[in-house]
Amino acid sequence: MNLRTQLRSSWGLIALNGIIPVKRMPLYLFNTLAAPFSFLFFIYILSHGAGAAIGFGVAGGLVLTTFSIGTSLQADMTHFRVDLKLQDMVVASPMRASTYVLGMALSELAFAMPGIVVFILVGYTTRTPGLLGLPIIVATLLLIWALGSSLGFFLATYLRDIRETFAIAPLLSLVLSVLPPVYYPITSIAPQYQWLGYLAPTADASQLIQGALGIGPPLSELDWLRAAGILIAFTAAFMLLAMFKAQWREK
Amino acid sequence: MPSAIAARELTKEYKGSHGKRALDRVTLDIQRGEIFGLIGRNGAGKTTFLRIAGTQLLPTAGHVEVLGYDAVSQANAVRDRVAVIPQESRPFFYATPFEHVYYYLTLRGFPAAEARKRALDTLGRLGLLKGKDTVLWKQSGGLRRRVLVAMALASNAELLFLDEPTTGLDALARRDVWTAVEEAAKEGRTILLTTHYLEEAQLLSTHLAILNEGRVLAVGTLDELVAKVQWPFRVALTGRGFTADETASYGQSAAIGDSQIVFTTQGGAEELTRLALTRGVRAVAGPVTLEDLFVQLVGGAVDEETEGEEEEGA
Repeated sequence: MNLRTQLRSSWGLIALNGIIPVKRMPLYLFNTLAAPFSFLFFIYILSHGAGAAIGFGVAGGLVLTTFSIGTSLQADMTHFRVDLKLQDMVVASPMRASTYVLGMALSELAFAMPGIVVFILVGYTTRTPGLLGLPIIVATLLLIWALGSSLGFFLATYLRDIRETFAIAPLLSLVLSVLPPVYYPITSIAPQYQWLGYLAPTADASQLIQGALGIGPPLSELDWLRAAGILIAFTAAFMLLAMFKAQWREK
Repeated sequence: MPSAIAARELTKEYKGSHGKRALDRVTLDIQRGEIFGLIGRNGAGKTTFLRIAGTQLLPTAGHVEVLGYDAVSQANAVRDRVAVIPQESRPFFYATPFEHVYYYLTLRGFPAAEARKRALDTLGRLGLLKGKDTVLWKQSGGLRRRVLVAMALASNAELLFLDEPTTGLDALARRDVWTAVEEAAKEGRTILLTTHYLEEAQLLSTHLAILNEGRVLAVGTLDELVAKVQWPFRVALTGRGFTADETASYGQSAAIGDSQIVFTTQGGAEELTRLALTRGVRAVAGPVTLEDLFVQLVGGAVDEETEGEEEEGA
């Protein structure tokens, strides 16, 4: 399959798993948007609307919304493999695993995109990011999208039942979105433990977005490089994991 | 031209199965353009065979070529040429029949106009045009199954793997599927069909294989399979007039209420029918059906295994 055909193939999945369900059941959007907007709401109430605090809510919300594509993908792919047997139909077809993952990951954007747009608008309304702000935010979100999607695909090929995803999705959110400094500055952690925060790629992503929005302590060049480097390394590692260790054909 | 499927000593042992083989040295040849029926009890290995040939599952040992390509090392070449309807597959409840077929063809790489044309054509053949734009949550379970069959048939795949495609369909819907499958075979496509409906296998298949406990018990046309059994004729006797011992002397007999079914030889069937007429008992005689064959072959295999186990235990 050439690139054009692959993109056309992906479109089939984007329509079936993204556009059609969102169009027919818009309530599905709440599944992706409920948690990040709840956090933003609490932050707004507790901070009495202070701009910097809302900025952290926006940075965290962008990371959580985009990363939730991965957890949703994990659940959808497990459902498609185990319940609908769609993966069997796709494996035995000209569509390749990479195109399947791309199509599924893009289809999940249909659920996350409204939230991402709202968070960016809130960010731009409450803060005044520099010229490079938006490109940095978009690039960071693309990396988080690729990381979450690779992780979701990898896990989905091993899970035996959709119920297992009910346990894994909240665990991933807790470990990668709530506990690490995604919604708060890394400087809130005692200096001797800050390295732990950097180990979560979502925290590095949040730090990049916080820097782009101009909130929290100013980032040095080294901070920018370290955060981007860790995020890129994790994304590459998860993509390799998905490429080489996911079970496209069962053993 | 190579066979559609050529399996040699194909073996599958699932992890944690404690040595029990889902497929045990299966050797099968399926020719191009035929409808090949794979029948067997639950757990006989039908779906495992189909999934290995369809490149969804790796074998433990052995070799299978699909359309001339190795299903393990040349899987992508196989995948470009096959389509699968898995057992117990389900469509998206929120999409319409047209969307299913159209987008399935899109993800197989068809351009929009051709996908649309093929989708409408196939939905028409399966009697699905009327509700083509109605979401599936408003449609029956049988219709949902037919939508899945339509997806595979609408593709240009040279080889179709249909794993129990008519399960849950009513008699009329099943006939629509049979007609569509026969048309696909007339177009030169090969169909590997697994089914629990032996009538369906008998009606559609040019060749059949009976699997039991992962092994091939018999392969051939229906006539060739009939020639392999000890009792190739059946006589159905309705009414009292024969004792069980008497019918058993002709072959294998089973009583169901006031009726008896006797599996016997051609001579035995002729004699039993004549005798029935003289005693005023209604008799219907003829060659065994696929169902009779299945019971004789699989039942025999199960009996042999049980005897073997008893001997081992003794």
